[in-house]
Amino acid sequence: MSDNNPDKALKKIESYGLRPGKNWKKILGDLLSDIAGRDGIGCEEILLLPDIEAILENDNESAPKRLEKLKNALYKLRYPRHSAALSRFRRHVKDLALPTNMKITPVPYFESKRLMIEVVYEHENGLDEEIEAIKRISEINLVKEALETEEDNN
Amino acid sequence: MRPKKIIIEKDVAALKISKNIISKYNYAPVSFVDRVKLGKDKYSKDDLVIAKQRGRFVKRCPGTPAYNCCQYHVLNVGIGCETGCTYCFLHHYMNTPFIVYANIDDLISEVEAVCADSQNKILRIGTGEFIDSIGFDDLTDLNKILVPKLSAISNIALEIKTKSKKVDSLLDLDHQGRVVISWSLNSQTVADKEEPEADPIMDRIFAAKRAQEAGYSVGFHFDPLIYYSGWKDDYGKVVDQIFSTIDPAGIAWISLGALRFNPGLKPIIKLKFPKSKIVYQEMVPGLDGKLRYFISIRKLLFERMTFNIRSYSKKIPVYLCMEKNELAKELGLIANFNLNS
Repeated sequence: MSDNNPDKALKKIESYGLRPGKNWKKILGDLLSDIAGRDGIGCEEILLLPDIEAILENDNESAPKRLEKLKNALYKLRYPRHSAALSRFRRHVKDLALPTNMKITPVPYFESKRLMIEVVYEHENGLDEEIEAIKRISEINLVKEALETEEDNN
Repeated sequence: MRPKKIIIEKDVAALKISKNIISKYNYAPVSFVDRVKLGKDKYSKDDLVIAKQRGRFVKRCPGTPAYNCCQYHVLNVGIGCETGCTYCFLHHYMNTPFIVYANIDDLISEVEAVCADSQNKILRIGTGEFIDSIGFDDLTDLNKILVPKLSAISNIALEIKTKSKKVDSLLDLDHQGRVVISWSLNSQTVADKEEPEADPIMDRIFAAKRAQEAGYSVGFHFDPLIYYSGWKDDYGKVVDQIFSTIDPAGIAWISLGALRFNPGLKPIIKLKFPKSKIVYQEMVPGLDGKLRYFISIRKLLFERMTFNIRSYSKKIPVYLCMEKNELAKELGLIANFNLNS
């Protein structure tokens, strides 16, 4: 029987010199508990996974940075499809080579095909480059590409 | 249900339905009160409250913000269900007693008035939101009153929604072709794990066959579809079983909905049903704040189910419950299902 209680695992995280506050503990604890429940393993076992252990043991990085990396790694384990879709989305956006004053954001969790495009505009600079970039955006269905069907192993 | 205690409001104590319930459970102590006030620790889930509905019996299905809505109307005849499904929102109401609203004449008048207000539309009205429409009959025999009375309304489609096989008491009722008995279905694997007290899936399908033979239209709700190892084959088998048992011409609708629940239900499910794994799949907050499968999982489920159903029938209305219209359109399904289009 697996142990979904993350308390011991959180203590172990602290033993690596990380000092997660109350909010961090909630975030990490929920992720650990859900992964443990899903996979039928103990929360502490998750910390032994090579990618996770490498983050915890990396003394060359600051504690806040390691906490952020730990959260991201656990999130990827807990939400693999969403993480993969986000990575694909970011990759496609990078390929579009948008001007630095433009930002493109999907609806959270890709629940809709809508995208928000932000442009920081200064009159003197004109909008030619941005209009070209918007054309490039319209030529690719970014959300569809991000959600490209993965193999269903179930 | 075997109530340990019955609490009855004096206003409805003399009504036939109240008397029937008291005589049926004559072992249970009865207390009479002016008005039941529900509150923390006042009653237990083993208590039965017979009360007067002082608010509306008929409400528009609240749907869920930002997703589609099928204009359904909920007929609130009481609260309580014994199937104990792990995913049920009724777990939010822990220690709430079973409640039966006994002023049925008021209910009938209200439904008549609501339907009269929408004379050129067929209204789909169902009792299965807060109860199992047939399971509740163990207490009330309500369908014997509602089916003949409400089916006399020319623009009604009354839905009796259930996970029960006990259709006997409905078969001889005069339903005038305006009553749809529908079954909430799942794979047998899910039913075994997550619907412990409900009847087996094949029993539900055979009950639908009997209802169909009695002239009822039938419906099926694959809701909640649950994603797990083996889902594809398991759900495929259920669709096969439906179409090898039921005449497709008499299926009024099939709905598809993927597992979703308010975030507050997650710790309750974990606590009450530690063996259930349903909360651990990839569920993320939707536009309405409810937890639901990540969109690509929902698409997989819906695509496969649509393929399975459409391989047998292209005509049966198949709709998505509480999803974006854009998704329904993408899958070739009905967005905003209703009986008037």
